[in-house]
Amino acid sequence: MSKVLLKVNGVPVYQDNDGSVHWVGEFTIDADGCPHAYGPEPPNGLDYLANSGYPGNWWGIVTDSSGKPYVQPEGNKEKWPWPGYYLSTTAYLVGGFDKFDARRYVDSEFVAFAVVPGNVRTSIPPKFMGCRTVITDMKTDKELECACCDVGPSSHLGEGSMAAAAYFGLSPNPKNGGSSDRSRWHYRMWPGVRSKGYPLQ
Amino acid sequence: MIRVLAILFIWAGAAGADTYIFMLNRFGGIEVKMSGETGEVKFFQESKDGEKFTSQTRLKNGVTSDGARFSIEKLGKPVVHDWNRHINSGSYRLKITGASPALVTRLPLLADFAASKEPLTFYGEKTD
Repeated sequence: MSKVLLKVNGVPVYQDNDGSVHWVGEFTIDADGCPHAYGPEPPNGLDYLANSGYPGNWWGIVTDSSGKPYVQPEGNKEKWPWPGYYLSTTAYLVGGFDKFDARRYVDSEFVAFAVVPGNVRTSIPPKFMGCRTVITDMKTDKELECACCDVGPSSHLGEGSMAAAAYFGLSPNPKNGGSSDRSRWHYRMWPGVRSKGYPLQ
Repeated sequence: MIRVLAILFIWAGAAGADTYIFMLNRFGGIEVKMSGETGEVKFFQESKDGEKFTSQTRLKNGVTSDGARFSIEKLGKPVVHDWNRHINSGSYRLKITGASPALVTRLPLLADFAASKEPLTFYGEKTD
């Protein structure tokens, strides 16, 4: 039995008796968490810098104490794998690493993950970050079991990492990749149920 | 050349409320609701942590109390400035005329890569 939890631009987001939340939407590419997603120009990142925010409201990159974007320095390839680029963030934070360490964030280029709209995340108490997620291509029935690792705009349904897009054979380019087919991609998340290897947040 | 199918002024009589969304950046944009002669404009700016900035203004016959007119056109085909997130993209065009400097400063920032050369003109969609 499903009930409508809320609607996003008129499209229903359902909740089932088992607590899972699901919707059908596009496949927009989220490059966040990739340490060369954003950069000063030059070098150019994989995505447009404006998709990480703007001065005073950087939602996708690390800033220093004065609010300026933090540039990865040279000298530690594990901590700062792409010197000269900004450090891109995800809402999910990997434990054991400090704010200025790329390993603290989930790398969109190599980790398949899904994105929950902000208003869906706050609509019910159970935690979404790190929860079990299944993305299904309803055209081919191909499924991806992954985690929810980032938060997207409340006005948009259907977003995943570059690695998730590549899994489905989509272009992972955050500028023009993904799929705009709003009836093809089914997202089901189990808030409060952890995905393997992901503590809930 | 964009073929304009119809011009829908937001004060046009309509049964029930119609809602339009014009995204100006990844997490921010303009929401216009219209219902008969009355309407509402909301400027919103979220981040991953939630909504940070909102400005709401009532409309009477498509005009705010300080004289800004919001008019929406349905286009013959969508205008696309951003293929991935559809920022400043869609089948509807919003034009703001007569806007005060105060209103302009409250607008969410338009992402540079999705900007057009038309002042105070934005593209978006009608929600279902």
